[in-house]
Amino acid sequence: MNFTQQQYLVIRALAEGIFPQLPDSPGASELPVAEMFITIAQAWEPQVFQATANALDIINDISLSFFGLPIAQLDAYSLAVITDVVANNPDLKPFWAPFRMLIALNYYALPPAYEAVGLPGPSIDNGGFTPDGYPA
Amino acid sequence: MSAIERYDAIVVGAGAMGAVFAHEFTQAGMDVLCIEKGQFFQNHREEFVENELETFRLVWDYSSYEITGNAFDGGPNLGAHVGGGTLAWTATALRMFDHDFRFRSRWGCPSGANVADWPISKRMLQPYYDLAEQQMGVSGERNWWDEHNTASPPNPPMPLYPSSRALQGGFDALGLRSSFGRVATNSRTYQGRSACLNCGYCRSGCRVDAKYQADEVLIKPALATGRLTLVTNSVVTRVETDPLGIVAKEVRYVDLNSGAETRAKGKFIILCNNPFEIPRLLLSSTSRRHRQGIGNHFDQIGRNFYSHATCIGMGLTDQDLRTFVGHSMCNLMSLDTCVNREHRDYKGGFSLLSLNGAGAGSLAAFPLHKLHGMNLKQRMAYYNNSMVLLAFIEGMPVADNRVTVNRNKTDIFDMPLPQVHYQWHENDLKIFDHAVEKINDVMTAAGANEVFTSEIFESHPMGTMRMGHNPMTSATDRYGRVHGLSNLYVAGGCLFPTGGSVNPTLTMHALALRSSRKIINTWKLIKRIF
Repeated sequence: MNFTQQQYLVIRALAEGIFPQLPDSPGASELPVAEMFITIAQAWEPQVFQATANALDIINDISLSFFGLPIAQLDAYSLAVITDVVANNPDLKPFWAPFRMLIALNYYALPPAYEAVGLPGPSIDNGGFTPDGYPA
Repeated sequence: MSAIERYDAIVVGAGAMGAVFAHEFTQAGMDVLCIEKGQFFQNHREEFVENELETFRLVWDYSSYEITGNAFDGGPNLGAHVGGGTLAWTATALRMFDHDFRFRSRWGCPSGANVADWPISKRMLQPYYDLAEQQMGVSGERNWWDEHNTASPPNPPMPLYPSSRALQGGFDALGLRSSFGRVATNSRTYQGRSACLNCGYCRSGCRVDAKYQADEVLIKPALATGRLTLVTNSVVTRVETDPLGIVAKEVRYVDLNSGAETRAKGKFIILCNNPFEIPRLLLSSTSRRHRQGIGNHFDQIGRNFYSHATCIGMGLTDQDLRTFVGHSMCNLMSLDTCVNREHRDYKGGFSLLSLNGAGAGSLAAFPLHKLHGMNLKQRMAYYNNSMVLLAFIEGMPVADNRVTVNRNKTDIFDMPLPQVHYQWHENDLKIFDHAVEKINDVMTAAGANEVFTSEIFESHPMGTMRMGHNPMTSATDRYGRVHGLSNLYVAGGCLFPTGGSVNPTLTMHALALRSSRKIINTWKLIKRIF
């Protein structure tokens, strides 16, 4: 099972809609978040995978109907609008809830993302931390 | 097919419970076969990785399950390798309350639920709780909620982290008692294992074994006796009984790499795999004497499933709380709300436990679930200024919340695939609403400027093989022996008639110790006679 190139671009754009680029932290599209999501999705049961693929096509259609552009070509403002629409659409909740969760977990598993919020990452090989949070 | 292997005991699953049986049996001189579907991580320092996503490598995969109802999300609760859930657990090690063992007598039965008193009391379990704490190396101290005869844990409490101290202020302001948590994480070097280094990655597997992990603490010593045969990457597909159907004679298991099937006979067979796969195996093992599955004459196998409904709250402050530091759960706790004392319209209660450590993804995924875009990133920028509090809510067993199998849909070993039906009970939802309210109150009192809470989700799957005296209303006796079979036992949270509102692992461990002693005594008696 594989997503189409267009579906891949929708995943990438939606991930950026959830975690947009800021001056002090990377956007999800700058990191391999979409690729990590796809790796997980490829292990799903075929009907779950297909439902996800269908939802991605619908989201692209929503973008086309709102802005006349595929979601991957939207500017930051328009992408935020579409992300809002998707997040608040009850029919898309079965897609959105697990999608958003996986994107969040994958995004903050990557050093540029977690370091940007002050999570230092692995420390055991340096002796860990004191209980007050300073290097041991 | 190879020749039949023979053992004193066969343990199915080398997880948190299987490790207890394997350890106790081999120490007593029994020859044991332990069959595990997953792998054996023998070098934790090298094989575990400090990353939040690593949790998912260590936990059970439900992707082939058919799921109905609104309550089951397949959360990362159960283990998948040698050591089982203890590789990915938070190590919270709490004793259930005395009243948890007699929910029905104390509260009655909420409409639509199917609660029962336990067939044993807490007093009967106390010596095994003591032993479990010694084996695990629990850190903590006697606290407000202990009964007078409760022994102190073997290690002193873990120091409070900055965010726990902030939460403590919130509890104090509301008049809720709080105390150091009880965790199976070493506050000092214990039995050759390191003290906790506060790295924050408990759920990714502890690289220094400061956290109790059953493969290190129990399986390795069991292997050292020379009496344990540990088979990994193999799945048990069937349990066979004698022609009369009253003795479990053997198991069949398949090597996942070669596909070879092996038969093994045991004087005792103990199923320790998990609350879904145990009923699945029994329901799959049909025969002339057990047409609906082993031990299922009264349609009790797989019933009365429930969990701890769960809420995670995140409170944003202006203080530097270094939220990343620590062991992951229960550095600070309040158990005052485990009993509904506020005369709210529900039965039971919920625990309140602090969360710490490297869970940025989980915070974005759960308490901040309604946010995205700039709103989400702005709140995540407060990650290290956050207090995090979790509520475990006593879930109601319901007869029709259950694990069954789809006999028309099988896996590659011809085993029927599991079906899980789980619908929240009204009582679960009422407690959840109160827990959300209380989390908001505590965090606001502790100085949070904004509080976010998760939706309801399930933790700690329990039930499906309920203990009891009556075979018409339970699946096993009070030792976990399947009704109607003389030598077939099950273990784990599947046995719990009700689950209280504290993490179940210490109680599961204590029950496994109690059952293993019973089996060892029977084995010794049989050996003496024959």
